[in-house]
Amino acid sequence: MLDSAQLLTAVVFLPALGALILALFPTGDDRNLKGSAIAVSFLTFLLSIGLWRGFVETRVGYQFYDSIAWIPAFGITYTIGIDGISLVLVMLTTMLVPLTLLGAWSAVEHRTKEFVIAILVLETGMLGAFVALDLFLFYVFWEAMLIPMYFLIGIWGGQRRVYAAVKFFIFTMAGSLLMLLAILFVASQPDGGWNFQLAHALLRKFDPSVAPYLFWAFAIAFAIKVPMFPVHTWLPDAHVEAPTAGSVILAGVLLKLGVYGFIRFAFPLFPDAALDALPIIAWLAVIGIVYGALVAWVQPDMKKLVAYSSVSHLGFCMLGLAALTIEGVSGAIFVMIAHGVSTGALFLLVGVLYERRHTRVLADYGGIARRVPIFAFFLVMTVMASAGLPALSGFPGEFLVLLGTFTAGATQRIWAIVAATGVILAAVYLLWMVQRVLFGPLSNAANEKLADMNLREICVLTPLMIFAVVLGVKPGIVLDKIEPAVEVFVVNLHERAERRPSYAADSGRFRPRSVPSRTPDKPAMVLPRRLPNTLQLPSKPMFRAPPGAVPLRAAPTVVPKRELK
Amino acid sequence: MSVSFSDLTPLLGMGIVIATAIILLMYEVFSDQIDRRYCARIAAIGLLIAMYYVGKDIAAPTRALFASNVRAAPIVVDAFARASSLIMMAGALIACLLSPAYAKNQGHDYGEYYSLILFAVVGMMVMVMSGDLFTFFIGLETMSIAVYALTGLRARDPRASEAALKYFLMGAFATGFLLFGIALVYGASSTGSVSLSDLARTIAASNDAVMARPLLGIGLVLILIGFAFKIAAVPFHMWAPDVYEGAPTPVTGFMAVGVKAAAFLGLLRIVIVGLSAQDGGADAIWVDFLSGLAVVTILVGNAIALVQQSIKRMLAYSSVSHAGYALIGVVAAAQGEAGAGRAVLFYLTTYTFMTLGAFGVLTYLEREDGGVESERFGAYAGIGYKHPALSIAMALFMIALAGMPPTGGFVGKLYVFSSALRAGETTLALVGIFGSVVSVYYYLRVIVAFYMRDVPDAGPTPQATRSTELTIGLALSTAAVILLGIAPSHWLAVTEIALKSLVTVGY
Repeated sequence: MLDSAQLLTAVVFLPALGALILALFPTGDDRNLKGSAIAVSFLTFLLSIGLWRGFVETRVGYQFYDSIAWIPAFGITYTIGIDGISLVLVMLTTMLVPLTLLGAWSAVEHRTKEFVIAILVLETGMLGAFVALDLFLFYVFWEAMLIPMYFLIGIWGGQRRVYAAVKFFIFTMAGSLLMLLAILFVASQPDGGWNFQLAHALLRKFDPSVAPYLFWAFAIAFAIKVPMFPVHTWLPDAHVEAPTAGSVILAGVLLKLGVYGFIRFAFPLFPDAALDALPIIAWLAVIGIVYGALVAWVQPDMKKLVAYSSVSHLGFCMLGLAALTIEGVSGAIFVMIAHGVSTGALFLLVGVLYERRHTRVLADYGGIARRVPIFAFFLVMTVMASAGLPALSGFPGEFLVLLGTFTAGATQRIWAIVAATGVILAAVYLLWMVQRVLFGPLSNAANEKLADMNLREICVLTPLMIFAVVLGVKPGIVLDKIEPAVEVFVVNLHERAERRPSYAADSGRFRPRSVPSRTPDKPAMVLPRRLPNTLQLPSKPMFRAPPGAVPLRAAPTVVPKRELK
Repeated sequence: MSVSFSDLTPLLGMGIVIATAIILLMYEVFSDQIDRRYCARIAAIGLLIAMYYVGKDIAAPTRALFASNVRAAPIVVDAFARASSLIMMAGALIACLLSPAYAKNQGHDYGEYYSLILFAVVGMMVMVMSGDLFTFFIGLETMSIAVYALTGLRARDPRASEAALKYFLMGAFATGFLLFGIALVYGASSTGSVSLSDLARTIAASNDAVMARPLLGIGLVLILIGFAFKIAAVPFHMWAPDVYEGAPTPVTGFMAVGVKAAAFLGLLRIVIVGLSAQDGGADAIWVDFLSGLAVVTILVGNAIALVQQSIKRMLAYSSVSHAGYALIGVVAAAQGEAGAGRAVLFYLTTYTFMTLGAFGVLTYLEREDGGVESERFGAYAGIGYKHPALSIAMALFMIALAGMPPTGGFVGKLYVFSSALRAGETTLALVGIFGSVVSVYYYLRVIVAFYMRDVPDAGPTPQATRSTELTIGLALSTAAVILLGIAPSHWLAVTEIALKSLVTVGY
């Protein structure tokens, strides 16, 4: 039987191992190739359920931790472990990949072997990046992920696939190489040695004159991946040209790695620089929310519409981070999961239409609801989830982000107000899309014989719908898992903020007004998490993690940095 | 002093290479004129045996030849020399394996071909063992003359003749610089000597006031210009693309890695032993010269590679820009950064395998009628599916050249850039990073051509030339690129021992 650390390693490398075995399969045998790839990824999912069940919610710090030397001369280790945040993202990944493969069953007809191998290698890359606790290891997975995605877009993509693939690659690579320099700075020890372990890097203090550069080197790499406002331009191209499977994984998981990078690396490593950068990040996030929504509104192409909606939704994630409250950060992570489910489903649905009609232009459809009722049902459900209808997955996350931002201070309130328009706009462009595709008169004769979804497609989308409902009704299943990790993240940054000389001057920036006065002997016990009275949540049990009135777990004695081996 | 045979044992590896080269010449004379199938195998076996003898005890103590102590010795066999020789012999081994099918195709499968490669390797080994500038010069010339001849092998092709002539003229030019520089340094030296340790002492004596002894400064810069020609650093790179294009493809690969590695490693010894011994080295004129060279080389090399239409020329310019990355490491080494020399050694190792691999794939796909037309990017459309294993290897080499994990190219770049950071050369590291980003584009173009275009554009398309040796050569390069990326520890340890031997012993 695997012990706990080996289980995590197994989850990460099982897809790659599967890809290796699939490479030996004969080329023409498409059914077997696809079937085996689905089996491998499903097995990975089953293994990852072991992670979910074995994860102890109440523990702070990394679980399933393992660390072995890899390149000792350079202080490089194979160190992995997960906290709640990584856990939910790992689960999202392992859940999405088999569904994606099943969804691509009939869409991919040429070079099937290469296709399934690329997807499985990609899965290992993504999982590895989520669990790596060594900067070098993280970078290796981060970059290794790029290559299969590049092939997915470049080989199985649309007309301008080469342009999109190269643009995607170069944008990401430019960011990551800057990050690599920063990683080298961080790993280079004063005594001349090297140490790439994250836990070790977290203990270091960086010269305030250097730290902002290091922070931005990390931040730019992650911002490109998210993608944040001015560096988002690769995303629409990549999404439009990518095959459905590529889009689902890109939107569902890859983008989350950017946000995850901020949470795991950029913010904790350089807290002071991060605090200085918060307003910039928040404003870029807000601009991204509104801009993404507005641009999505006018897209004639369904896939591009969904792509820009991703820019908007990921803006919420970054805003939640920048708010730096428990609610905001929890909400950001929740949005990541919810967006993975709903946008993944949206791309799959667009793929369903595209497979039948080979067009994604909205104007080519209209009134098809009567021809394809099952499809219409799924599309409406997904759009509702994506638009943030209460009781579906989109709602809790965005609500928490806005709440967390609004309550964080006076400046933050403006961000929240502007960002809230994004929620409205999301409803506008999504519903308008639904209306133009599904309802009205059947304007295009070519749609007369449109076939409804088949059993396979229903099997792909049903689990996603179930997740969308479950996440909406019972957000606690995610929020409970991530709470300790989020607390640690927020508390550490707040502690740092309070130690800054400028803190008294602009305390409103990081602390809600209602924080009780603190006693100096218990510095870390106070958390800026109390909500204003006017904004009490209506049904507290629904929101187990961040409710204002629940007293904090006696957490902050646990600063995980010191707990690590 | 008299030299006994036992004094020569440290040179056993070199002796085996020379013997193999002579055996090949004899084989050519006495064998049936038609059957030259075994030439490549003989060369490969000779190199393997030599590699075994050199590599079996890399960490053996330093041996000085033809002198009583290391300082005065013209030839120094230390761990650095052994490790460097290993790299060059590995390069030659792969080049030999890539050659036979191609040579037969192009009508130049002479046994002399392989002995020329082996003689070039001997020259390279002398370069990295040299304890003074004259020995270095002799090694350089031995290598160069062999390579001049190799370049011109396809005598009937006008491109090849042009390449050979150009390379020879430029090479002679570079030699002139080098020799004149050595003469000036000799004149500047207080003891009238050209040994590296005396050079270090001369520099130490002149303290920071190099400019007070212009002979020394000018001499050193002239020597560096001579190097810059050999490693094809901008602006002394003009010959490289034409020569790389005109030479037989395996020879191009061998030139791009072997000649470059030998020049770099020779330079590294001169820099570490001769130039950076004192603190004054940091702001000396040659450091500025080298940094400037590195920056220009990276920027120009990458920029021109970007617009090439032929894969072979693109690889030529990419090898120019790789010289720039390695120069970053040399600059860091000149600043006294301990890890930098190791980084250069490691970088050149990975560079050897990935570049030779890439040229090997091109060799595999080279047409009988050759010509520029069949080397266009567009000609390679769809190769990825016609030759899956070959194309995966090519993709791997491109990814490695671009410096992506999990390949040796990544670890090498990481090492070089990190040593630049350590030496305080942040700007150089940033330039290197910028160059790498640009380079991603043209390396991806190869992958795009192989995998993402379905129909080749009009004109001759590549055709495969299969041979067992070629397959083995490519398999070796592939394995090395992956191993150096995933489990580099062993070779990292070797580089550490190698560089330690330069710093600690005797000087």
